[in-house]
Order: sequence, then structure tokens, then C-alpha cells
Amino acid sequence: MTESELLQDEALTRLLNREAPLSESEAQVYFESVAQLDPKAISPEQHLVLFERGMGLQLVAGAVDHLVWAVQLSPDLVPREWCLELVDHLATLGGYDCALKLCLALGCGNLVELSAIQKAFCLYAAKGNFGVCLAILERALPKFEEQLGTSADQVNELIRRRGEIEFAIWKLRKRLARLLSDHSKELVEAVNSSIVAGHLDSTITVLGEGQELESLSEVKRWGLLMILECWESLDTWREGPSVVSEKKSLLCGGPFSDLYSVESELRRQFLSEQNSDLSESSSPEWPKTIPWIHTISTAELVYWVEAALLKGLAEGASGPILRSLCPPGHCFGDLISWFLPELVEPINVRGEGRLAKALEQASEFTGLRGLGVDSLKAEDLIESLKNQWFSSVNLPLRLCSNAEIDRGNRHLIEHGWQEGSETVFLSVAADTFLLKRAVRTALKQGFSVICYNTPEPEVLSESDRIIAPKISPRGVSTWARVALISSRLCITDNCELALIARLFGVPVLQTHVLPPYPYYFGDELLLPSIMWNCDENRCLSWSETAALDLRHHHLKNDPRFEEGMGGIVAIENTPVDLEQGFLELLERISDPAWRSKADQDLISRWQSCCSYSTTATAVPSLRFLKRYEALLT
Amino acid sequence: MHQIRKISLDSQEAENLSEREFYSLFIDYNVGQHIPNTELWIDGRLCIKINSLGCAGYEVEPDLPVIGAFGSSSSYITPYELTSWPTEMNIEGYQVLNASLPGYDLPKTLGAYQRLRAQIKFEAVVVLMGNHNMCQSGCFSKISIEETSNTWMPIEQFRANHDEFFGPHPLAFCTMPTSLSPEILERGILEYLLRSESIEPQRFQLNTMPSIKVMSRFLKNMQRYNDFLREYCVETGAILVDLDDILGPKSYDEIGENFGDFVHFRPSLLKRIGSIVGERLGPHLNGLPKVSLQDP
Repeated sequence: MTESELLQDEALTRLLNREAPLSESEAQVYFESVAQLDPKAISPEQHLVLFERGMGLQLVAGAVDHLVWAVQLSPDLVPREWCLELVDHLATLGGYDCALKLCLALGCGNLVELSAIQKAFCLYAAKGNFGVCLAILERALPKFEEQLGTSADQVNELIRRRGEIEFAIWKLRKRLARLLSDHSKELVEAVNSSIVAGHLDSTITVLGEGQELESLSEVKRWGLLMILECWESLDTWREGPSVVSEKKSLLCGGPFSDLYSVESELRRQFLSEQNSDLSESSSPEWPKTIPWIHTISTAELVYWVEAALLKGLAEGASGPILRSLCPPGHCFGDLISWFLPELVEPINVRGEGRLAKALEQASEFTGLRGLGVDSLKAEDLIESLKNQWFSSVNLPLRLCSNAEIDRGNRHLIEHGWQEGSETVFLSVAADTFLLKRAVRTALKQGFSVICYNTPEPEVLSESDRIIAPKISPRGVSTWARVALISSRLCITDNCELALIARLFGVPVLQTHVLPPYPYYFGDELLLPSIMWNCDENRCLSWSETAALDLRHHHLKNDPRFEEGMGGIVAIENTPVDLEQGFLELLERISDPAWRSKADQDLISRWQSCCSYSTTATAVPSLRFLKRYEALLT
Repeated sequence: MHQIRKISLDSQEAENLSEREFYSLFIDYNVGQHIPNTELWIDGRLCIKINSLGCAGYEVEPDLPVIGAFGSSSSYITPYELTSWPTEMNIEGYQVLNASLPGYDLPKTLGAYQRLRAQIKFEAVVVLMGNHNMCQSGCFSKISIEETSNTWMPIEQFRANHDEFFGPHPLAFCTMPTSLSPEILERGILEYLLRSESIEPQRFQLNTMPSIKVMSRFLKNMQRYNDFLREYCVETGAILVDLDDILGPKSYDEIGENFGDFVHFRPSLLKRIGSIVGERLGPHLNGLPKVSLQDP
């Protein structure tokens, strides 16, 4: 017997004899190595004693091992209900390993067979041991993927029987949904039950999670999903899908009215095949054959645009894969089509027609046709293709023609840009003195700064590395396009430019961001605007800010924007915010491990306050969050 | 003996009044003056007293030389204690008549001086302008971008009004101190505000929107006035008390050290300011200003 075995033996004896407490470290050593023991070397009763001692010393994992053996060796020794209670408790506290081990011991005996796991799952689902179910599902997920058929039925059965919305959310978050062939039907059932029960919030959450429309606010998600549902059933539009027809009133009133008015008008046009409001370039068959996107919103679309573009690329699209439907004067469609001329075709709406009017009236409307249910897998699609896209030397997109690139570069050189020098693309419509500090820092770091639409760029610095060609009144100039996509990073308060930069892999520091906060999935840092309540003379917390409805902020002339703010104003980011955000973005680009555990906690708190996506990689500047930590409530 | 107009409220009634309503109990905003011989009592305690000359505070002693103090809210008396930095000057052998009034702009302050000098022989006069001269926002209104940008008082008007304060007495002008430090224009005020929110009594109130754009214009205007005053005092021989230099924050962390907001001193500072002004004024009290105003 080795020395360690002797010590282990001695520890075991002392524990069993209930002798004076072992030192904490000795006990720890014992319970950590308990798995090496032969379970049959001691009696079930002794296992139970060791379980109690272990729990008393808060060495739960080792203690539960003993309980498992006690249960396996003598099933009647411990009351079954007591064990179930313990299992559920352990699972609730996050002790999934222990919970799973114990519940399987109670129900199945065999710890490795998948069938046993399924059996345990069904057993505890039927008994309502919800925590156990979670534990089983989480631990056994990879195996479920292999044995999808039976497991899927059981999962869905659980949802149907219990109507557990939270469970459905969890399930979807774990990506189990995509493994289940008939999840849509089950989801609709769960949603319908939830609507009937008046649990609208939960319903929205389920739908939102289910469709992974994380970039949209709850209300919009709901409206959008309704509409997506409509589109999926375009052929049987007159009858309408059950969810919509049952709850049509929801769409017609309150926060959904804008969405509905646009959708109604579009539908009318589709059905009557009267495309009088659309430009002549649109072909009669486009609604059915080409995925298209239409928007008033911009920043929130990054996810969808990216997904659609990648999908098109993956499928080897040779013509437009997206069409954008834009209200009059909206720049997004122009921007995206300038940058992606091969793939996006803008469909401009004339200013007079009913559709134009409906679009103008809509506070925000985002729709996507053609991805449909496939959009459930959009995230996977992006994951699998984004590297291919962004790392490709020869981008598969025709960003600009070579002639255009040459012309853009020549123009920049004429304005002082030294070919090959690294640039920061700056487009912030703030007062010059707010930008000076960040610009000075960028220059100090060796960058040239290309100013686009920045007021008074000539007073930012006397450096010859400030490049500010004149802006064309007709839109984004060639030089600006070339400069944006070839810059090292972009500082902007402009949602459209941020989106374009994002699409081309240029890291963005987006300033003066108003809610709803955009979701990005690259190296983006946000500098949200702090909101000030003039009546109460105080700042709004992040949770209060996130709850504001600022959908109109991009419609500068919309009186609803001012009226709707109720004495709340957005305070501009400070020069220090911008400078520190810039430096932090540089750190983030150069060091993937740029944030510590404490930093991540801080971000999590902000995400929690704002109900912000935890999967989006765009986060507020950490230094910014720390400076205003008091707002994290 | 004057007939006293006595107003008695309980604290609940007083709390229910808006700021404007409260001041209206003893200020006639139609003419922009105190209502003479008014006393406001709250819960049986004398809160505000307006004397027979229409100035906040007690009656002047008939046989004691008077120093006149003119200004705005930052020079005004504190309720109940009826003290202010002018009354804390404590210059032996003199008494102070504090003719300040909240919301006074420069022309109104001058009007008060012209009205009172007909009734009182001032042995000295001290003037500390209120921030309303910077933006003419009027009483009880917050400083807005429009006010600070569009209604700047021209330097020539400053000069003309200041000239009018000269008389057969020493004259001191105080620069207008502010808690706004240039660093605020880099870091904003919210960082400080949120950091200090839980720290009483260091709590710092904002009397404007915390926008750097607004604060920048306000600070520039203050600096513009103070720069004018420094030059003006050299030019005219008036006594300069550079309160801005002495009391202004030396660092970002000191923003709220001496101030409860952008322009108003903390009550704990009144004695110190009184003493600073008294020390500057004292040596001049036995005669006319050493350099008199040149005739135009």
C-alpha cells in the first residue's frame, strides 16, 4: 500500500468513525480522490455516512459520489423522494454533474447509455423535476444530436405538456431547436398557448429567441415575426396563418400599427401585382425569386445583411441577391448598393405613392424575405463563411472597380495621404472640439486621419496627416468608399457607415449611440450616449436608457422624435470618451485577450441592464463603462 | 419704526411652494426689487428679513459707516441665518448693506446701486456680478445653448455699466468664480457628478444641461467677463478681487469643493470669501480710490 493510499485509508476510517474533524485539506484530498475507491469496499450505510460528512464539509461532489453508490448498492436505503429533491436542488444551484449523476443512479443505474439518459429525462419530466431535465439535456446534448429522433419527441412532448416558456427559451438558447425537425410546430403551439394565457412578454421572447432576431427590440421582433410568418404563407395569404389571424388585432393597434401599415400596403401591392410605386427596374417576379430586404432602419440590419450576402455568396449568386426598398431620401440603400453593386439592388420608392407614405410613417420597419426559416441558421452560416469572406485576399465582392480604387487613391493622395500609410476613418458630426483629442491621439499613434463629413476638419490639427477632401453633395464619393474599406479602423456616429465598415471587416468605434443599441459581431466598440432627464436633473441609468423608444432618432425632421423624448436629451460623448475608446479599440484589435474577468463582469452587467445580446461581440468601451459605473443599475 | 409685513408659514406650506412662489413672498418681480419691511417666518423662525431699504438683512445702524454689496444669488443671504459673504467681511467700524438679489442682471444691479446711493452714503462698494450677466437667463431658468450663444452681453455694455458704479467711495469688483474648470471640457461633468452622487454634502447640483457644448460656451463667457474685469480694474484703478483665481477648482476632483453648482458657493465658504474681500477692501477704506476714473 502506498503512502497516499495509507493516508486515504486513514482518512476514510476517521470519517467513518465520526472522529474529530479532519483538517480541511485532508478532507479535501480524500473527497477529491473518492472516485478511485472501489464502491463495494464499504457498505451502503457507510457510503451514506461519508455522504453526510462530505456535505457537512461542503465537499459536495465527493459526497454525492458516495450517495450515488449508496443508492446503487441499496436502492431502498435512501427515500427516493428525498433524493429527487436533492437532485433538483443541485441542478438549480448549477451542480449539474452531481445532479445528473444522482438522478441517473436513481432512475437508470447505467450512467453511459444514451437510452438511460432519455429514460431519466422522461421520468423526471413527467414528475416535473424541471431542474433535472435541464441538467440532463445540457450534459447530454451532444448525444442527443446523434440520437435525434426519439429525443426530439420527448423534448417536444415536455414543452407541449408543461407549456414551459422558459424551458423553450432555454432549449433554443442551447441550439437544441435546430436539431429538432418539427420544432416550428411545437413552438407555434407553445406560443399560441402563451398568447391565450396573456403571456405576451414570454411569447415575444420565445419567438425572438427562436428566430434569433436578437438585433430587434422585443416589440419589433414580435411584429416582424408576425410579418415573416405572413410572408412564409404568401400563397395562402387570404386565409393567413393561424397566429396572425387569431391575433390580428395586435398588429393593427398600438406599437404594431406602423409595421402593419407598411405590411398591408406591401401585401396589397403584391396581391394586385400593381407595382406602380416601385421603380421601373423591378421585374414582376422579384418578390418571389430574389431574397430582398427593405428597411428604414439601418444599424440593426448588419446581421441580416451579412447573412443574406453570405448566403448569396455561398450559393454562387451571379446577380443581385438582395434588393433594398428604401423610403425617399434614405441613404442606406444607396450606400449598400454603392459598396456592393453586384449584390444589392436598391429599389427606390417615389415620394408620392401610398407605399412611400406608409414607409415614411413607419417608425421603423425591417423585413427580410427569402431567408425565411433558413434564417434560423443564419448565425451558423455566418460563422462558417465569414472567415472565408473576410480573410480572402481577393474579396469575392466587387467593392469598387480597379479604376475607381485608383481614382479614389489619387484623390486622397492629392489631399495629402501618403500611399500605404495607415488611416483612421473619422466621420463624427460633433463639434470639432469634441474630436480634437482623439484626433491628436490617432496622429500620435502614427495614423493619418481621413475626415468624412466632419465639421471644420481644418481646425482639428495642423498636421499634414489630416486628410479631408471635399464632400460631394451627390453622395458618398469614390475616395470615401476606398478610404473607408481600407482604413485600419473607423470612428463614426453614423449607423450606415458603421454598418458598411463592419461588413468589410473594419473595426468600428461607434460614438453617440442611441438605443436600440446595434448588434455587431466583430471588433466594434460602442460609446452610447448618456441620457439626461432635464425635469429631474439627473442621468438615466442604462436600464432606463435602454427602455427608451428612440426609433425616430434617424428621422431628424420627425416631430415625434422631439415630442416623444419627454424632457430627455442625449448628452454627447466627451473628448476623453472618444480618445479612450479609440485607444481601447486599438488594444482590442491587437490583443484578443484584451479584457479581464472583471471587465467581462462589467460588460455582463451592462448587457443585463440593457437586455443586450450576450452573443454580440460589440460592447461598450470598458473605460467608458467604468467611468460611468454608477449608471449600471 | 416701520410697519412690518409679516408672513408666517408652516414648513409644510413652504415646501409646497415653487421656488418662484417662495421668492415672490418678498420680491416684487414686476419691478425687480425686494418688498421693503417684509419678514418671512417659517415654523416660528425668522427665515428672511427685508429691511426698510429693500435689502435682505437687518436694518442699518444709523451711526455706522456703510459698505454696499451688490450682486446676485451668489451674494444673497442664506435663509434663517441671514448671513452672506458680504456680511462676513467683518471690517471693524463698518456695517454692510447687502443689496444683492437673486436673478439680478448687471443693469438691475446698477439700478439698485443708483437707487440706494440717493439714500445711503456708501463708504465703499463691492460688486460681484451674477451669472445672469453672462447669459441673461433671468431668474429660475436654466442655462441653455441659445442663451449662452445668442445673448452675450457686449463688452462695451459691461464697461458702460461698470463705469456707473464709480463714486466718492472705494470700489471693488470681484471676478466671477465658477466651478467649471477647463478639464470639464475634456471629461464632461457627468463623470464627476456620478462619482460624487453618493457623497453628502459634496453633492453637486447641475444648473444647466451637462452638455460639454453648453458648458463650453458658458465657461468661455465667464472667462470673457473675468478677463474684461481684470483689464478694466487695471485701467480704472478699481480694486480687483480675483475670486475666480482664488476659489476656482485647481483640478477635476475639486469641482465641488467650493461650489454647490456651477456658480454658487457652498455656505461653508461664506466666511472665507468675506474675509478675502474684506482684506482687499480694508486698506482702501480711509479715502477715495487711489486712482480715480478718468473723464471720458
